[in-house]
Amino acid sequence: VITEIELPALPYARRSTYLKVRDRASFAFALAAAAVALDLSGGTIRQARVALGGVGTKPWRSHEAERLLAGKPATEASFRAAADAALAGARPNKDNAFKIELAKRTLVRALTELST
Amino acid sequence: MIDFEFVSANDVDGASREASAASARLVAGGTTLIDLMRLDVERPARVVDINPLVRRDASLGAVSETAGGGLRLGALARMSDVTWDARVRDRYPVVSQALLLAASGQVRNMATMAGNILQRTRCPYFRDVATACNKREPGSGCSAIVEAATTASPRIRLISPSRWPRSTPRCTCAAREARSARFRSQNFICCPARIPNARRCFGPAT
Repeated sequence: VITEIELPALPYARRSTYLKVRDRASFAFALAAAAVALDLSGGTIRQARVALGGVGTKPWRSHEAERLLAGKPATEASFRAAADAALAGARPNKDNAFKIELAKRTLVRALTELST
Repeated sequence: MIDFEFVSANDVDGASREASAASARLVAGGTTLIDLMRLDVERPARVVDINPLVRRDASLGAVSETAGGGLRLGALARMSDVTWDARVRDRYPVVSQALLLAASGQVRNMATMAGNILQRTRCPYFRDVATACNKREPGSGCSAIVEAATTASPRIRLISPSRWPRSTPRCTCAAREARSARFRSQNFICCPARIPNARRCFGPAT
C-alpha cells in the first residue's frame, strides 16, 4: 500500500514549469508535454531536469538533455540542441511522427519560458 | 450489476492485508477503479474503502514537510489539495501545474496522489473488453496493432442489439474462457458498452 510520495528537496525546482500541448485546452491528454527545472546562474545553466510526456508509454526523463544543458548558456541554441538530444532515439509509428518535432518545440518553449 | 463486497479499512496494516488478495481492490477517489468496474475491465470480489485511514492519520491526506527539506504528499491527498497547496506552488510549481492540467476539476477533487501512480493505462483498447488487450487479458492479443494492420477490413464489427442473430450464443461476463477463445479466433461480432443499455455480448460472425 502506497502511503506517501516524497518530493525531495530541490531548491532550483522553484524555477520549474510544465507545458502541455493538446488538442483542446481542457480535459485532454497531452500530444506532447514537457516538465523542466533549471538551475540558473546569471545566463548559465548549472543543472537541469527534463522530462517529456505524451511521447512514450510512461513519462520520459531525458538524462541526455540534462547533461547537454549543464554548463551551457541559457540560449535557444542550447535548448534546441538539448531537444534534439532528447528525441534522438525516438521511433514514431505511422500516425504519430509529428510528435517528434512537436515534443522538441514543446521542450524548447518550456525552457525558454523558464529562462526569461 | 456484478456483486462485490464493500468494506472499510481502519488502518494501513489492515488495508495492506486486504490488498494482498488477488480479487480485492482498494478504492480511494474511485476515479479509476469505478470507471473500470463499469466497463467490466476490473471485476473485484471485494472493494476496500481506504478513505477512513485519514481519520487515524491525518498526514495520509495532507501535504507535510520532510526532515530533508522536501515535501511529503499523503497517498490520500486529493489532486486539488496538492495543486493549490502554497508550498507546492512555491517550491515545486511544475508539480502544481501538471496536476492542474490533468483531468477535470470534478475529477481532481476526488482523485488521490497514490491513485494517480496506480492508474492503469489509458489505452482505449484496454478499457473496451470487446477488443483484445494483452495487458488486460494476457495472450488475447493487441487490438491497437491488429486494427492498424487491418484498417481496410476490420475484423471487429460493431452491430446493434436488435441485429444480434438469434442463434448467437450470448456470452455472459462470467464465461470469460469462452470470451477469451473468441478473442483468439479473431472472428467474432461484438456489442460493447458504447451501445446504451446493451450487455456486452459476443458470438461467431455470421
